[in-house]
Amino acid sequence: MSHAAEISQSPNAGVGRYDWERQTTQRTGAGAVDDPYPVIDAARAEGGVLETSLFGLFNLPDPMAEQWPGARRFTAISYAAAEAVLRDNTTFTNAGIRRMTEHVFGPYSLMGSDDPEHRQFRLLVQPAFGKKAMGLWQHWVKPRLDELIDGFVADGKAELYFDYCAKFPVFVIAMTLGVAREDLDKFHEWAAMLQIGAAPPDEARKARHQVEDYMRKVIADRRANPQDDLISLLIGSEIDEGDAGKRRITEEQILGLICNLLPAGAGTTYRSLGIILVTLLERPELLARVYKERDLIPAIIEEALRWNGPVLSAPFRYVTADVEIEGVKIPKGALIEPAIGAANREPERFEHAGEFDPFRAPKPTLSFSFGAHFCVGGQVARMELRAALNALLDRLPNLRFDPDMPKPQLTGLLYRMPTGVPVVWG
Amino acid sequence: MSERRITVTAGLTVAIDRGRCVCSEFCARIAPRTFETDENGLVAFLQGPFDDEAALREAAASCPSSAISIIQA
Repeated sequence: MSHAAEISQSPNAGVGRYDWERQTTQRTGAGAVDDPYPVIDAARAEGGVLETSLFGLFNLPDPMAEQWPGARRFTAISYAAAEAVLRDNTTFTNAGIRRMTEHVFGPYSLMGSDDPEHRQFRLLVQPAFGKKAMGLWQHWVKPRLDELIDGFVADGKAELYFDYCAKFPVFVIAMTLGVAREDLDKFHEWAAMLQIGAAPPDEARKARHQVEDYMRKVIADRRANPQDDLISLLIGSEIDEGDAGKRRITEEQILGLICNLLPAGAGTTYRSLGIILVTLLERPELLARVYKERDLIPAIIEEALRWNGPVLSAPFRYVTADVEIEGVKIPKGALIEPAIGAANREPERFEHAGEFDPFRAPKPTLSFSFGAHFCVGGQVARMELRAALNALLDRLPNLRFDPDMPKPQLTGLLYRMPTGVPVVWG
Repeated sequence: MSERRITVTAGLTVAIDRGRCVCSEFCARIAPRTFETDENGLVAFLQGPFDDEAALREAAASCPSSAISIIQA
């Protein structure tokens, strides 16, 4: 059963099945910019650091302007400049993100804090995303993928973006956190509202309070009845501070982590999977080959994240001291956006950078950011993407675009996504 | 102590600072005979034989959080 016909593809309408989803994607540029790369490539002639906000480069109203009146704005588009900004978290701090989001995310935010405080927090949560915990995530992955495919396999066609991609990573996060299945839709909406820039502050704050109230009950339950799940692991997380003894994670830190984790995992993995599917469906010969050579999947994922990742810019950094990058003087008090998507397309670092080429020699990218705030969930995201692609290829032979539906396209500025993934098979 | 060291050859020592590691796993891909991530999601050394010096230097340069350093005697 396909709902694709209800999904608006008119200009500036955003992408989504629900009103809240169309609104959140519209605010981050869906519909206003489909392919940002020609504009970015043309701007490279001016240098690696541009004096403009990312939205300003596209002559769009800058969503942050109201909260930062008078701040000078820069965007790093070269690989070296974006990497330099992300590497030096003292000159380019996340304190500005805290100022903007503290009333929404509360005092404990991985994304809104700087080292050494950030590092202490990160060491407490990093084990939840490492090898030891991978099984706790994997436990929910394959059954969910098969359940979703069961829902449409008899139809011969499906809207994979909304009925597969959208319903998978947020489910996995919710289940690992101990959310009840009947509350899943609510959680998905809260997760979308918590994406930076995707909802007005009072709506984001309301979503945060709803998540907190819900999760406090789950945490209380797990303290009384620990289970073999991620939320129980987080509750027990501690760091050894040598002579000072061990320090246990606090409930407020757990809630802060969850409010960062929900939008990050639910939004980026969802959109990445949709982008990868559209990319493969546009290349039928490659897709036919992947059916038989599944070991190509990891390289396809890495290359898709480089070529058209789900996030064009890492969260902005606040400049704490006068500094110069690639000849551009950046004053204290300015804001700079590290445009990781632009960096990943830099011709000097990547040959034929504008082409999707999964056979290129592997090279580190900025897809999961860089520096102290490198994406903590990268390994979980890769595992989920591999599993989601394999499950489709296992059960739906000869996947191709639905000829009766408009061809989807990639769209969005800050957040990138496909307008849909309508397919038929067999 | 969050720092660990191995001597690869006479005069070439590699140090990892687990207190800085962000688990990008770039090092384990660039120099897969030298680095791995352990069950806590932090960089650790393998037993060797280790990767060549060029790979070790590239792994150090690629680390997002500068957690790997090459120490030449």
